[in-house]
Amino acid sequence: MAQHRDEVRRILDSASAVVVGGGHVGQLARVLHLFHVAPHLPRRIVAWSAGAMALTERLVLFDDHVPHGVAQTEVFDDGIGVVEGLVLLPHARRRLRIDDPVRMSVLARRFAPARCVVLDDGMRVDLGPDGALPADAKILDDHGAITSVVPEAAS
Amino acid sequence: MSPASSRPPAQKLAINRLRDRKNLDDAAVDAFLERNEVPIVEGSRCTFLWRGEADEVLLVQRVVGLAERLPLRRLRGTDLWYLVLELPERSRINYQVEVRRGDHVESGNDPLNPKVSYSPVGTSSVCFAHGYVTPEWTQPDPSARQGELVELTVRSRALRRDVPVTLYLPARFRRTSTYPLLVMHDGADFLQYAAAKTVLDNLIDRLDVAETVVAFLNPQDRLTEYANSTAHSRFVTDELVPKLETEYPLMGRPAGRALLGSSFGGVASLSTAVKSPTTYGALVLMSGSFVFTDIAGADHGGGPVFDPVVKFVNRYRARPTRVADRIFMSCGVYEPLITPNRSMVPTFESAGMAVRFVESRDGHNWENWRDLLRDALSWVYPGPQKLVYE
Repeated sequence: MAQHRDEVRRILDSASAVVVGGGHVGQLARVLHLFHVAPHLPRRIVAWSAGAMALTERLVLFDDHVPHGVAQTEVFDDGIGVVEGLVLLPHARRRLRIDDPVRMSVLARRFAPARCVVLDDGMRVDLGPDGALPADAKILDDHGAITSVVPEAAS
Repeated sequence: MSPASSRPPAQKLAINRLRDRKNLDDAAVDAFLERNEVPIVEGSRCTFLWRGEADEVLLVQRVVGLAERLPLRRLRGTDLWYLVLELPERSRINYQVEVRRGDHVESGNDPLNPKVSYSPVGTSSVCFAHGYVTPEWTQPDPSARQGELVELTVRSRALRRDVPVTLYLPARFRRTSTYPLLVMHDGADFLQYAAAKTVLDNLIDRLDVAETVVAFLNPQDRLTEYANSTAHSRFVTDELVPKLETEYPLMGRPAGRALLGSSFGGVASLSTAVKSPTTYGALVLMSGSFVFTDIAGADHGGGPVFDPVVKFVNRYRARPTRVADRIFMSCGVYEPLITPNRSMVPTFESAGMAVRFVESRDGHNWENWRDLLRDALSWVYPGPQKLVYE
């Protein structure tokens, strides 16, 4: 195992950027943990869907349209934690009942002070060097509404 | 559900508007039938129609609680016959029309309704009440990856014959992976009348159901093999499952083995699990023919073919045993079997099994079982939907 981890470290040391795609977030996080990837990642990371989720501190699974009854959002496991203070919600409009403000409010407040970031299809969020969200990133506020980090009137 | 004439409709029904017309002639009836899809569904009211000369016209259906034959009334001065039934939202009923002229009785599908339901014994007309929608996942989806059907022949010493088995391998089947196994009774009928392959392709592609290998069984003498037959149970548990687990990459433990059946197939599933209580992790019992009598020797009303079933169910109910971890049960509320099925829920639970019971406003037919496959399969073998974001 140590040998494999070392091989991965050498590849990452020579990389100027890493791309992490989507898929099965549980398997992805397990592999990233297994190969001890986090300390060796370059500063530039491009990630989407499950790949983006795996970079955060907590893997939060959600799907309000499962075949059976009410599906509760659940904390599945630890992510690799290179993105801090954010819960990422890919395909939010397809997977969440965003027209239910009470439900969305519970979701937002449950994970506070982390911010729930809405990553809709085609949406791109560029985090700053310190991990800060850009002003136009969409988040769930405490009332369950989707809003910009900095409301447009104030920006 | 009741004949609707006992309650005034909130808004005048189409048939009543027609009846109120002053000049009610053939042309008016022609235009009426041209304008309306039959049966006419207006809210909870469904108007069934038949046109022609007859002495009596009856709607024949097997909705529990209703008379099997309901008479249609003739609209005065015309050859149009009608019956208004109140059907709860999302109901679906199968029916035929019986016409009597003197001593001659003729029955068949509703000639005014092109919608039919298919089964191994033929077709019948079908009425979709307000709110019923055919689930879109039962229809072919060109974007869904297609699984493969493989025809096998399994030599059975237990059944003393070669048994044809159709094996479903999910899309992207790999020998390096491991899969749960589902054994489906009445396999050819599930494939033909319940769109089982389309349903599996769609539900697996949408991640609602885990990638699963499915063995579709085809009985030779169904009413014998599926009525608590030891030979059938031995075939499934001692011959088929071990053979498949040797030749295919299957999980090979109870959590990865499930039996499914509807009607007599439900009895076959349960009796196979009873005879081998540590082999299977889950059962799917749809409209199971779990006819029983609370007093030994009482008339169960099912005729001789039900005798071994009643004997088996009575014995099981007297001493319920744990035969799987989980049981998915379903039944249509319009089926005569709804009461026995409801009664089996506490029986199974008392033996320590987790039971999920779903009722539908439907009858004893393949579309009912088709429409419940998502509930059943996603509960027995849930897919990774919640874990995949791509």
